[in-house]
Amino acid sequence: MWVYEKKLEFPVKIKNPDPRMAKLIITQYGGPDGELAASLRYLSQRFSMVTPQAKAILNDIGTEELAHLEIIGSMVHQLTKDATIDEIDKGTLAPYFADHDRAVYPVNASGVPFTAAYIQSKGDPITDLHEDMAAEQKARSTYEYLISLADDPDVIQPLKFLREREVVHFQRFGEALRIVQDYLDSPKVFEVKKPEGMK
Amino acid sequence: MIPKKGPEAKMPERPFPPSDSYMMPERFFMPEMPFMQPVMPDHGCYPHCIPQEMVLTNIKLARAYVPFQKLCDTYSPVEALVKGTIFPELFSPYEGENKKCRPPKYE
Amino acid sequence: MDMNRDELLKHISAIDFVLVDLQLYLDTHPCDYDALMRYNAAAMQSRMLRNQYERLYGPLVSFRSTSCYPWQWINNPWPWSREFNFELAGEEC
Repeated sequence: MWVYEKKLEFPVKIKNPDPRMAKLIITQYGGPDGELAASLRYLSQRFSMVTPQAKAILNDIGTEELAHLEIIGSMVHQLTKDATIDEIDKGTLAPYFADHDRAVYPVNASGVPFTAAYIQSKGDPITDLHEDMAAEQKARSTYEYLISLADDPDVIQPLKFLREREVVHFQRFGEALRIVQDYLDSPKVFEVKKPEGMK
Repeated sequence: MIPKKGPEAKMPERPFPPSDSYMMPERFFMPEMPFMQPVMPDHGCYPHCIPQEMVLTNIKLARAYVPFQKLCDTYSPVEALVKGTIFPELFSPYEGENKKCRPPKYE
Repeated sequence: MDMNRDELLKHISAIDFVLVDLQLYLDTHPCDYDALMRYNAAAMQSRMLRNQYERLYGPLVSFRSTSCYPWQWINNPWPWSREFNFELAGEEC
């Protein structure tokens, strides 16, 4: 089960509203390579995963991604909270504003709403772990593009933190893959029930 | 405070693989950590500690392999939080494409 | 050692982050004794700092922490607000 801790994993203290950045950063909230996709993917895959190590990794990284989702949501909130309508319009956030005001809603940078089609939970542990490693690389790349587009240190700092976490997660999924590969390669002993009538 | 590994630190006897029934029947796999000739500069408080496996054995075709990390030294807590990891060997800074930093518009 | 709220929260966030990164490492390296000892030491330090924070500023964890009267859990600021968070001196870009 989940327990909520009343603090962010990384502090977000953005002093200058910037609707243009909010429109871009929101892709890591509701976009294809964002934190919602990541957490749902890992938390769904864990049910069919093998080996205690890989189950733990999916469980724990899935949980950490929920914390990252919260960081992105906080960033979008702080970037728009005190923005004027004029700033929202100039930041090309007016279409989003028309439907959501300054609320946070899971869409990508073009306004396309989140869909489970962004994730896969194939059941095959090797397949799932490769999907997860690819997901971490896609997230890392997206953070790099966002870092290049940002110019406020208050925004860049959490983005850099989140990017580095993707690098670490990739390493962990890679190690889980090694463990699962070896587990699936190793011979297993199965119990065979003694047939009835046999002494 | 994070305890530093002194020269007399001894690892307790541990059965391998662990006989904890929670770990069974799935086999608890421990990859090989081959003895490595250290050819590295001092790694903080752990001289000659190589923070990863350097040799992969029994590798197969149509497979992907990521080397295992090995714990050596770690950043202090606040430095780790700023950087995004406690492990220096996983720290991979990115400065952005054509970065130009602007000062904040208003305080 | 008396720390103000921001300082205390900064140290708790930092030591909790150490725990997160070590936990993920231990998930794939469960037999790394050194890592486990470091994790336990950090967990004890975190508990001490949290007790201090909760005594002064209210509950940190839902369904676990105790509260004074009236129910403190609902109090502002919540973590997504600017006022809740501390400054973290990073690298200049």
